Order: sequence, then structure tokens, then C-alpha cells
Amino acid sequence: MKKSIYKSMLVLALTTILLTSFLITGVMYRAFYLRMQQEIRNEAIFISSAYNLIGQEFFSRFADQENSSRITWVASDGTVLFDNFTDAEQMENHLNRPEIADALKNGFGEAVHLSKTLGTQTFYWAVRLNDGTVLRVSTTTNSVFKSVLGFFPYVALITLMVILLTMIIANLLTKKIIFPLNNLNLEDPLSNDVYDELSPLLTRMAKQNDQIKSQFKKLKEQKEEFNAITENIREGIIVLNNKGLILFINKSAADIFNVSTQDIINKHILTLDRSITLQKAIETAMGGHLFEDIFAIGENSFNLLASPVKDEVVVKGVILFILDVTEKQSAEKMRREFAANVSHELKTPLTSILGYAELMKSGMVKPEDISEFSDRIYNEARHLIDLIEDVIRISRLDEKNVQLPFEEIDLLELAKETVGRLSSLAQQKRIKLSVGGDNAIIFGVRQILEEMIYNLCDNAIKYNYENGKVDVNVKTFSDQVVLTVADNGFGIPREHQSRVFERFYRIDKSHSRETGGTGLGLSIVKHSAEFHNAKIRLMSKPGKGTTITVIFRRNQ
Amino acid sequence: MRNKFDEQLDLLKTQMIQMGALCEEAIASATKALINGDIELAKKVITTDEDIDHKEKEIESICLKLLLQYQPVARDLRQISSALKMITDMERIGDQAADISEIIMLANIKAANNTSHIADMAKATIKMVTDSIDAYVQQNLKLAKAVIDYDDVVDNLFNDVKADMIRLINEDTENGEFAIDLIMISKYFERIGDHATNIAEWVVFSITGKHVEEEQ
Repeated sequence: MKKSIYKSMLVLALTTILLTSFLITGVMYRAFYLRMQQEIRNEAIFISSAYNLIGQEFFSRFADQENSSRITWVASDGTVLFDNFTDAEQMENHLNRPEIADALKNGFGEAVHLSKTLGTQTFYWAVRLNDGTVLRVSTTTNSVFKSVLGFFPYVALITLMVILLTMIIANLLTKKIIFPLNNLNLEDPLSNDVYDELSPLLTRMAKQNDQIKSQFKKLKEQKEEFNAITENIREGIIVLNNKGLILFINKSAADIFNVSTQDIINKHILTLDRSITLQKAIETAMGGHLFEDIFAIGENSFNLLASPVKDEVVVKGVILFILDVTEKQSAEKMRREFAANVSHELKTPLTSILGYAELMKSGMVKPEDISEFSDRIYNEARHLIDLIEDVIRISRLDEKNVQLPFEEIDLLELAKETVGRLSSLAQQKRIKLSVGGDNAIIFGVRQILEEMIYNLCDNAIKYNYENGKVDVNVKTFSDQVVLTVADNGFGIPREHQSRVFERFYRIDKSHSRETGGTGLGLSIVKHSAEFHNAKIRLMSKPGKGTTITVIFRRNQ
Repeated sequence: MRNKFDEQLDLLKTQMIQMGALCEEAIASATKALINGDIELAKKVITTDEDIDHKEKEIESICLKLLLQYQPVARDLRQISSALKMITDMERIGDQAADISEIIMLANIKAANNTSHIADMAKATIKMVTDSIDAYVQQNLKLAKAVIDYDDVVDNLFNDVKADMIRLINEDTENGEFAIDLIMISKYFERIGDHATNIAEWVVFSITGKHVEEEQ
């Protein structure tokens, strides 16, 4: 800015100087020219009058006189008769000179001769004398160019001064313009006290400041919103640019890959995980296609969805969604196994029934054996029904959304009732059944609790020695109700303790059919307890007995 | 100029990671094929090995281009030269995984899961390969040195497998061929362990500028 101000001022000053110089030179030159002509004419007229009066000797006075005009006397035939600067005899014939010719013809003649080489200008004035000869007076001065050249040092001096002055003024002016600009309060443009020309700018700045502020606020809100969403969802999200560098990774994704969010930003995705599935996913997405597959990190399996981010046709980046499906997959596996187990368990009694029935049908059974055979068929069918009932129970417990009637139940009364139903079974094995403890009211579903107690006691009787005993106890504490079923039966070996609650898990697979259980009893107990938000503790020593404790929370 | 160089260096790094991942895949598949007697999986290892060979050529040309065009010095030079050495070891890992698969395809390896030592050895070798590549990816000096030390575990397991096989032949000479196949497989695993050690050593070199022996 300073430079351009300086430049324009300089151009203006120099143009003025130049134009003025030319104009002055022109005007001056013209006046000078006319005066020279005038002077030379007057001199010629004066000399010619003198000659006409005095005669030839008048010229001799001018001979060898310098600093005066040159006087040439030419005869009517052009021969130079006298010249006060050079020897007349050596001079050529002057008849062809324009001024002489004019003088001979019209009585006077004039001419101006410009010598470029010498840079001089010669003014001639010729006049015809009374005797027919011609007198020519001439004077030589510097030409206009030489005169201008003479001005030059002065013009240069002035120019230099002007340049200096321009610089100083330009400097001052720029400072004056720039200073308020440099010291503007940009936060609040309208509060500035500056020259008027700046106000439109300041108004616009104020407007833009407001716009920027509001947009910034909006962006920040959007970012916070986005962060709040991405940081709190369970799905991992990773955003990559088209070179595979990580632009964004949310907390879930960082947790999945076990890294910290800050460390991994701007690094290549392959430094995070280099599994072939992920590589394929990124390659596919970079090619502009959607990719979905299951991939594993350690023990866990994840559903990976790679989606390209396209700008029309060019892939600008990739978004990866990673969803932990470990639980889902294990649940699915469990369901599959359950279905397989159920089919197997159902098939075994049915095969027996079919076998006995076939034997009877083909008449290979003696009449006295028929009652035994039908007894067996009856037992197998009974077992089948037990099994199906258990499966129905457990399926119902699996459906957590099912609406069942919750009511206040006295756990001790319920235990007494349930144990009463098992007394005949206990008597068969001469097992002593006892129920004791406090009356405890809990909030629960009668049917499910009854099944739970039934199964616990049923197991305690089944897996017990003859003459054994089973104790059912209900105790209340300030914040919980504890139901204990203790027996002094076979007990559960340590390695099986963690697995007995699994469906169809049997400790002794080969003898399970003799005891007649379905393999679902403890699984039903576990689900029933979970249904009531209760906890189960199992304590057991092989050969000494088993104690199962169900801890209910009170007042829920 | 500098940016272009860095870009190429990044490309080298991702390609190295990809090659490492392929090696891991090859040896993991070979192990799975061995333990489950899965011939189809064993066949897949052969194609993975081809991918590894292809990758080696690709990385080699990137390295040479980097060396010729930019004439790097110091750390950059170390990174590139150690990459050149590492891919040789990785390629050998791929080859040996393929060799294991070939034995699996030809021999009757059904009883492999009876010999738990060879499964342990395979697991230990996979761990070495994975850790050595992790050490490269994270430029982790400590992990690289841990890999070098872990080689002893694999060597000891190889001796255990050897003892197992001697017992197997003593019990029944019918097992001879099977035992020899297993010995060869475990020798390949042992070699893979050595290559993983080499990779780890090159990682140490690329970080510190000194060879492991010099460091100690």
C-alpha cells in the first residue's frame, strides 16, 4: 500500500515536472526565436542604412570583431566581397543561398539554418543595398535542444527533491491510513474511533463477527451432539480417509481394539488391527462397495460393516461399524445345542416305547410278561411327559417378557406345601424330610417358586443315600430372605460344580436314566432364581452332601 | 519432495503390515489344519503362500525405489534396509507354513491332537510371529526383545515333541511314518520361530541402529 501510494505520487510529480518543463521550453523557445529574428533584422536594416550613407569602409569597422553578428557582403553575382569572420576570397558563391536569392529578388530575405552536429541555430537576414549588392547579417545561437540540455541539471535537482518529498509524504500518509487499521478492535468493530471511510468495513466486520459466532456455536453444538451419540453407543465407529488413516474413532471402538483414542488418531488402520477380514473390508469399501462379515478379536466375535463414503463416484473414505456379537452368537449356539439336546432326550424314551410296542405287536411277548412291558412303556411315557413339561417350563422362563402374576408369598408355607408333595418319594428311600425357619413374605410368582423348591428338594432326594435326610430352611434377615436346601447325599464333585446349572448337564451320564431326572432341574432352579433377581450359592462335598442357598432380596 | 518420500515410507509400512498379516494367517491356518486334520484349509495355505511371495516382490520394488530416488540416510535408511531383510524372513515363514500344509495333505495326521506338545509348539510359534509383527507395527523395542527370548520356549517344546515321537515309535513301530511327519512339521515350526526371531532382531536394529548382539 505504501509502495503504491508512493508510486502514484511520484508518477504525478514527475509528469508535472516534465510537462511543465516542455511547455516552458516551448513557449520560451518561440519568444526567443521571434526576438532573434527581430534583432537580426533590425541590425541588418541598421547596417544597410549605414552602408548606404557611409559606403564600403563601414564594413571595415566590423572586421575581426568577435562577439558580434557575422556580416557578409555579397555582390549581385553571388561573389562574397566581405566577411568579418573569414577571408572573403576563400568563400564560395552565395547566389544559391535562399536568403540571398530572396534579397536579390524581393529586396530582403531570411533563413534559419539548424546544424544538428553542432547543436546550433543560425539566423540569416539579407537585404539588397542601393547599389544592388546584398548585405547579410547572421547570428548563431545554441539550438533549442542544447538550451533544454542546459536546463537539465536544474530539472534533475528539482526531480530529486520531489522524489524525496514524495517519499516523506507517502510515508506519513500511509502511516496515517494504516495506523488505525492496525489498532482496530476486531472483537467489537463498532467501538473503534477511526476516519469515516472505514465505517462500512467495520459494520460489515461486526456483522460477520456475529455470523461467525453463531455458526461456531452451532458447529460446537453439533459436534457435542455427535460426540455424545458416538461416545455412548455400544457399537464401535471408525472413520477412515481415502488413504486408510483413522480420522475418528469412538470410545467403544477404541475399547474393542484396546487402544486409547488419542494415540491412534491419524495412524493407519492396519496398525490397529491387521486381520485379513478387516483388510478385505477396507479394500472392498475403498472400491465403493459395502462389506459385512464376522471377525474375531481374541475370544470375542464382532460384526464388521464397512461402508464407503462417496462424493458422487470418488470414494472419500470409509466408515467402519463394529458390533460385539459374542453374546448373541453364544446365545444362538446355546439355543442350537438346546434344540439338539431336547431332540436327543425325547428320542431315547420314544425309541424304548417303540421297541416294546413293536415286540408286543409282533406277538413275541408272552402274556405273563405283558404287564411288565406295559409298565416299562408307562414309565418311559411318564418320563417323556416330565421332560416335555420341564422343557415347557424352561422355555417359559427364557421368555423374559412373559407377564406372570406377581403376588406376596409366604416362602415357608410354600416350602411346606411343596415338600408335602414329595413325602411319598422320600418315604420310598426312607429319607427324612424337614422344613423349618421363619415365615418370610416375598414378592414373586407362586408357580415358578413352587417349581424351584420342588426341583431342589427332588434333586436332594434323588441324589441321596437311603436313610438320608433333607433339610429345607427359610431365614429372614433385614434386607434378604434366604432359602436353604441341604442334604447329606452324593454331593457334586468340584469340577462339575460350575456346570451343573447348564441345561442337560449330567454328572454321571451313564447312570442318569436310573434316577429318572430330565437334566433340566437345576437349570430351571437357576432361571427361576434369576426371574426373581435372587442369587444362588452352591456348596458341596462329594460323599458328604450338597447345600444350595437361594438369596432373595426383600421388599422389591 | 519430502512429503512424497514420507508417503512412500507410509505405503511401505502398510504393505509390511499386510504381509505380516498374511504370514500370521498362513501359519494359523496351517496349525488349524494340523489339529483338525482339515485338508481344505491346508490347501488354502498354499494360495496364501503365493500371496506372500507376490507381496514380497511388491515391497522389494518399493524399497529399491525409495533407496534410488531419495537416497535416504540414518533412521529412514535403517527402516528401509531392515524392511528388505524382514521380507525375506516373512517369505520363508510363508514357505514353511506351505510346507507344513503339504505334509498335512499327503500324510495321515488324524492323531495329531493326541500329541499336545506339537499343538503347544504351534501356539507358541504363532505368538512369536504375531508379537514380532506387533513389535514392528508399534516400533516396540521391549516386545521385540521378548520375542527373541521366547525362541527358547519353542526350542524346548521341539525337544519335548522329539521325546514324544521317540516314545510313539517305541510303543508301536506302525507309527513310524506318522511320527516322522510330525517331527518334520515341528521342525518347520521351530524354523518359523527362528525367522520370527530374525524379524524381531531387525525391528531392534531399525529402532536402535545396533544389532542385538552389539547391544548386549
